[in-house]
Amino acid sequence: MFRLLDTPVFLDHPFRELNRLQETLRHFGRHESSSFRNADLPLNLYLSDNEARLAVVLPGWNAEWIDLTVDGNRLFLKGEVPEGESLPVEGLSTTFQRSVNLPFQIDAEQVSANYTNGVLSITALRLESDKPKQIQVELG
Amino acid sequence: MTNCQVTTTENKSLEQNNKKQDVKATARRQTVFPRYKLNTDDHGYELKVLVPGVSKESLQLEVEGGRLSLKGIAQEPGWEQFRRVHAEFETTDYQAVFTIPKEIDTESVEAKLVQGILTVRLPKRESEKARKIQVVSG
Repeated sequence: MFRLLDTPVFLDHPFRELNRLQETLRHFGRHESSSFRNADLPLNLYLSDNEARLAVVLPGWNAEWIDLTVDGNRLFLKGEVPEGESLPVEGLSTTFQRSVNLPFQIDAEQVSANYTNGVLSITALRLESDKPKQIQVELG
Repeated sequence: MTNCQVTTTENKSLEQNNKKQDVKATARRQTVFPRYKLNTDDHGYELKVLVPGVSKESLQLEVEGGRLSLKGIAQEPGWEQFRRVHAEFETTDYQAVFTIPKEIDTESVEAKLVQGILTVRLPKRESEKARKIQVVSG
């Protein structure tokens, strides 16, 4: 089965994984995305034929602490609050890791990310060579 | 693997995009009481409120009659031409009213909004602060 998203990992809170598991069980049988609904750093994914957009709620972070990597059709999003720094509110996750599998190859040169008002917005464009091409049918 | 730069800029186009939809969007949108934390020290209180998606311009903060009221309109991403294929959050507006103690000097309340976190500093009046009393030996 093709899955668009991984399961979120919150490295600093071992119990969060357990809570997430409980949450998954609670939503068992429902639509897949509902199992992450209570995740700390929620993510929305938007798609069009040649473009993908992501919105991640990350209050209080710094753009430099967020690491975005592209590999083929995968987008990796990683964040860590460096030592000596802290988030303005205690109790929020200080590390996170998410990855998204897109249904097309990503043009790494054209990925852009913007962090405004505590929301990270990412735009990823489809690789030109991956776009469908129309083939002329010739008469024989 | 290619590393991509994450930048912080004023997202003007996003704001412009949203102006048109604001009326429609706020009508069907949910308003929630935001998550907050209250810390206190000798000088007063510090209130931290999580309001992701709210810009400085769309946040209203008022102190009146022993109450601190907050109202924030969050920005929709404005990506209507896209299909939303996965959703873990909904854009919500925020509304809250906090009762503030009498000892707060309402004239010098300060607020700061940084990346979705609002910090409100509520200092105590000078006369309310703890004073050290010199003990004189007689």
